[in-house]
Amino acid sequence: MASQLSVAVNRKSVAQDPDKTQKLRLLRGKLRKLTGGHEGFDDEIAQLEKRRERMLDGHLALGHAAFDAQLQGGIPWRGVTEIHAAAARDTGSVSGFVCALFARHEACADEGQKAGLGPVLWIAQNHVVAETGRPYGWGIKHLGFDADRLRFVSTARLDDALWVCEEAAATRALGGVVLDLRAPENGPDLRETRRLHMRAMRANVPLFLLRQGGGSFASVAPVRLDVRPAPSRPATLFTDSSFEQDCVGSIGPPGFGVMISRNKAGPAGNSFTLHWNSHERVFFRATVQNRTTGFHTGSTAGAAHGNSAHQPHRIAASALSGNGSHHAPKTRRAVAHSA
Amino acid sequence: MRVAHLNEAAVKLGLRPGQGLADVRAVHPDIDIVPADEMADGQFLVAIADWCDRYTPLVALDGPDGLFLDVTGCLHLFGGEEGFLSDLLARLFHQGITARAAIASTAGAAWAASHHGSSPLSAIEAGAEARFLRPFKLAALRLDGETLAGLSKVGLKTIGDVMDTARAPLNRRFGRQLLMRLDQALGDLEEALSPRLPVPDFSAERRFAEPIGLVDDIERVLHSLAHTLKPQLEAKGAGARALEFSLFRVDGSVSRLAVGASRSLRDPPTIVKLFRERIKSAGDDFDAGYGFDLLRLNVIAWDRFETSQDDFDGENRPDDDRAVEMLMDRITARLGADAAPVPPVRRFLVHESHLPEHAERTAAHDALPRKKDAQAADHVMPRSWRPARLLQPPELVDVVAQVPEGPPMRLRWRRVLYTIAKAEGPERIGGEWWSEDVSDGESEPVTRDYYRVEDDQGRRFWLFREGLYGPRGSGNPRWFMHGLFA
Repeated sequence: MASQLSVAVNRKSVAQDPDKTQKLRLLRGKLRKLTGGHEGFDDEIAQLEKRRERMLDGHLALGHAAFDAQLQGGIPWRGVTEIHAAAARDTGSVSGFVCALFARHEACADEGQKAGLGPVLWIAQNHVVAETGRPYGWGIKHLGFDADRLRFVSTARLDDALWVCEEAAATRALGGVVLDLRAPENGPDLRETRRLHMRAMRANVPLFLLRQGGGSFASVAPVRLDVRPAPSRPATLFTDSSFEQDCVGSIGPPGFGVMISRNKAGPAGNSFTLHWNSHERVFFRATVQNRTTGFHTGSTAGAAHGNSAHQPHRIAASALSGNGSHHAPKTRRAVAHSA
Repeated sequence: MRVAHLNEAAVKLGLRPGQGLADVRAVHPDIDIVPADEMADGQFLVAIADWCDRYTPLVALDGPDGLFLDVTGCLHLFGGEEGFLSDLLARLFHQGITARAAIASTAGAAWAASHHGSSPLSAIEAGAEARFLRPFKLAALRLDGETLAGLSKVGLKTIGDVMDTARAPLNRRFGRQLLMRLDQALGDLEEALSPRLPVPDFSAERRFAEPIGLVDDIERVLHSLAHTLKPQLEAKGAGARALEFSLFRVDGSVSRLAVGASRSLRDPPTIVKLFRERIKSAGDDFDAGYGFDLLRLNVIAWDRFETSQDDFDGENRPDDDRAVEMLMDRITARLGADAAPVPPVRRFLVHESHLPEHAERTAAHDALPRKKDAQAADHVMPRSWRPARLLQPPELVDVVAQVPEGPPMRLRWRRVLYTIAKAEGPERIGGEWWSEDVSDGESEPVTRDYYRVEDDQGRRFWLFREGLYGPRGSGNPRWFMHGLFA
């Protein structure tokens, strides 16, 4: 009983405050005496410590070694990070990139932590939603991010959006905040980003500032990424078999051209092309094809087979000719059409 | 055109309602005429009823120009019946309203005295209704025109006449209405008034001799009101889910601010915090004018108060869920006004539909998925990719595509030309012919063929063709942009 209670101690506060850590250690000592050396207690403590270290680390490794190295371990998972799109038509790419980041974070969190991941608040302005659409839950789910965690706020005025953002940045229980703005010149200025950054740092909340349009704007964000769409990888067929091959002409893992245009931890100005594997929830380099292992899901060749009968589609047909009994890997779901 | 209402001066000139306008103009050419506006009159009456909330929560509208106030148990607060009536009339007079008021044990008697009594202010003692009402005309009984005409035909003029007549023949001849109204006026039959607003279970108020207007003062009062409510709520083990803060301005206008809470609450600082956002968002609408002289805090909805143990590390920091809920509540309080009827903080829930824009419904942040939809989630789950952002509504685009059902090759969207490098599709989604709200307005639901395309720069779009190409160039399908992929 007591050991279970100890797990409920708030991670974030422990992670941040050394005094509290000390206090907690004393408490644990007492508890251990009380429980009389309960089995498994030390294991749980060890787990807690491990989790604490991970929280302290505070970077999200994307899985692309060179990219992560440039940022000293990955994208900072607390405070403000700016993500820019060149134009409104690239918003899909930027939104997808952010969702992929949250999906990646979910994947990195271990089982015990997963339950504790708070909701992600997506703040937009009404006219941005009207122009570039709203986040779409099904699409976000397909990217690997649990859309149930998403809460969406859209305001008429910029002031309101900034207010919501400031309040959210100070709420440590949130899993993240996304501020979806259009014209950067009307967005938060140096002072405002500073305030947002301080709050988000204190509350240990990652805050992504999405902006459209190029140019340089004053901000204290330690990292700024310019994200543009990049051609996708073709889907892979018959993964993990001797027939493994790319499905020519198909649209598989989405690509992102990411330039680190500001980087406090290292060099800036380098560009990378990342591809997102939404099943493994990891970014990978296009040159080394990511071979996923051992997943055979419900999207079987048979299902695609039935569809290809009434929806002639050259990719699906070519994929299935020859060996229909093969299970299609999940990345291939893009070409398995169901009506 | 006829005269609807007259002011005092016009009555003195000998005019009466119902006269033709031309006649009136002929007699008094310099008379001032304003077109009747029943809607505005109704709104004005509702505003007065709002203001009357300061005396009692039970205020009912009566016809186009009257109000019933149930003041049972409130009178001692205003110095008894006389004190109450004179306070009411004096305050109304200062607002420029001429009114007549009567107080009685029954609604019927009070109505008769206020409409047909000789003085503008009368109080009828309990039990004295019969004696008091005797000399009144029968019109004072709230009867319809037909019954009144019939009664006058048989020579019954006053309420006393009816009281002296045998009841059975009256009932046979004039129906139940006459005796019912008589019994109601005399208190032999209960009359139910239907108040405009429900009576809150918990309420606290404060009156001021000197009106207050500063936001800080109002917040301080709100805090103390919430403090007053707390023991009431505690006694019932309850917490507020929805609160209403009524501010009565000296000049008679009443502002009501409402906030909701995801979790039952009774902690005064939290309540003040919620209202602070609400007051801020009210902005220009929140005009203190000459100040408020009565503030009231009502609990409109309440729930069992959930108690939980605080964190282990000794601090009384609310747990994570509560912090998030509080954030959502504050956002709702601040944005609630201009975001209605859409909840300001939304989440996306599965909805059983194959149409992409209907496959997801937006609900309030604390809504739970309906059981039906949760079960449907698995088979509604799209098997092919869906975009990260969905355009609402889909945008018409120019597309060059192979006829009859080839993938798009070139695309013009928002005056920019895109060359399609790769395309996947079609994914055919049929119209929902069985659903009423979809077929509404359209003759029949149209089939859509969705294509996922990527342009030469790597942008991925979701396009669909509405309708099909027919034989020999017939049929005129249109292309739409529906979403942006990652």
